[in-house]
Amino acid sequence: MKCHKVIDRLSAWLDGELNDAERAAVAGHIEVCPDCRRELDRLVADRELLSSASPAEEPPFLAARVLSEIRAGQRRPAHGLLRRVLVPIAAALLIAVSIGAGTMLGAGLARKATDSSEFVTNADDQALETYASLAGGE
Amino acid sequence: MESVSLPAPPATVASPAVNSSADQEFVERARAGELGAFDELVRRHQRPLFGYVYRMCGNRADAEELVQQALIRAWQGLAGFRGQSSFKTWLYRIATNLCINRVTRRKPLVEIPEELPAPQSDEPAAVHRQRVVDEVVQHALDQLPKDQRAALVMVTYDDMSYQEVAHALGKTAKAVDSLLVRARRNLRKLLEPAREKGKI
Repeated sequence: MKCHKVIDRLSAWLDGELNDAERAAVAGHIEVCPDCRRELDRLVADRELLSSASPAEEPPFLAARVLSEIRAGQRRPAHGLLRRVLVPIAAALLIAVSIGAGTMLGAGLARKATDSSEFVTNADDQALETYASLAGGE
Repeated sequence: MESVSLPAPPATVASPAVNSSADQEFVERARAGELGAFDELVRRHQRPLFGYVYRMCGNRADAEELVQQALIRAWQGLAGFRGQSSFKTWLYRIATNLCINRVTRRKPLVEIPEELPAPQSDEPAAVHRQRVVDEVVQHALDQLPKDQRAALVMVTYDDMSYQEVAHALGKTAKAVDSLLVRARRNLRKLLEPAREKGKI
């Protein structure tokens, strides 16, 4: 095995991921090649340095907090569904109905506009009130 | 010729610290809605998972938030867990995705800063040395591309096999092998300045 191939296999060697044949080939090469041996020593030193870093311990009550969040979520699944799905659908329907009603009222008023300007004023007010009552509520 | 003593590699791939067959029983019960069983899974995995996420994101506050999110998502997604990988690697996959999505921009490869932490007054030498090691290691990990960092952390601190890392990262074991070769080359460059100064 050539040096460049050995060097590429040293990482897997360290991790115990080589098969028997590869392991034997790498071991045989390292025994006789000081450069590759040095490379292996450096990799070992880097691994030891990483391993010597202090362990990171989880904060206290982490599990309890997770379980508490899950329980809180389970208590109100319908609320979650309502928020995510039903409210947007209801809002879209309300807007569609409001626009439709406003259009119909507007068209009706336009037809009657020539008959009585006072009626138009009253009808406009009524239409606006109707529109406001439809659009205002959730 | 000078005789050499080679570091003994493991004869077989490392086994996970947590027994995955014992996990399976709790997974089945948790899937049936038993929250107590999920509680047991959380308690078994919270420490290594927190360690992994901490080394991925570099600070405790983010790690705490991401671990909580990962565990809650695991509970919500248990119905879709088919057991093709271990619960542990599935959990690490969820956590890895959260970590990667947290900061998507890739940091440039930069060296360890010139100024290493100075000893605090009345700080024992051993404590100071450990603090320097911790900061140098975490700084170097922070500079690695996230996939390289994830693979390196999993094999170094969690004794995970390439196959397990592959499951957690959604890659092949061969891709993990290449990832680790590159990670270790980059790590060498990143650690060199601190080594030259005799800090580590």
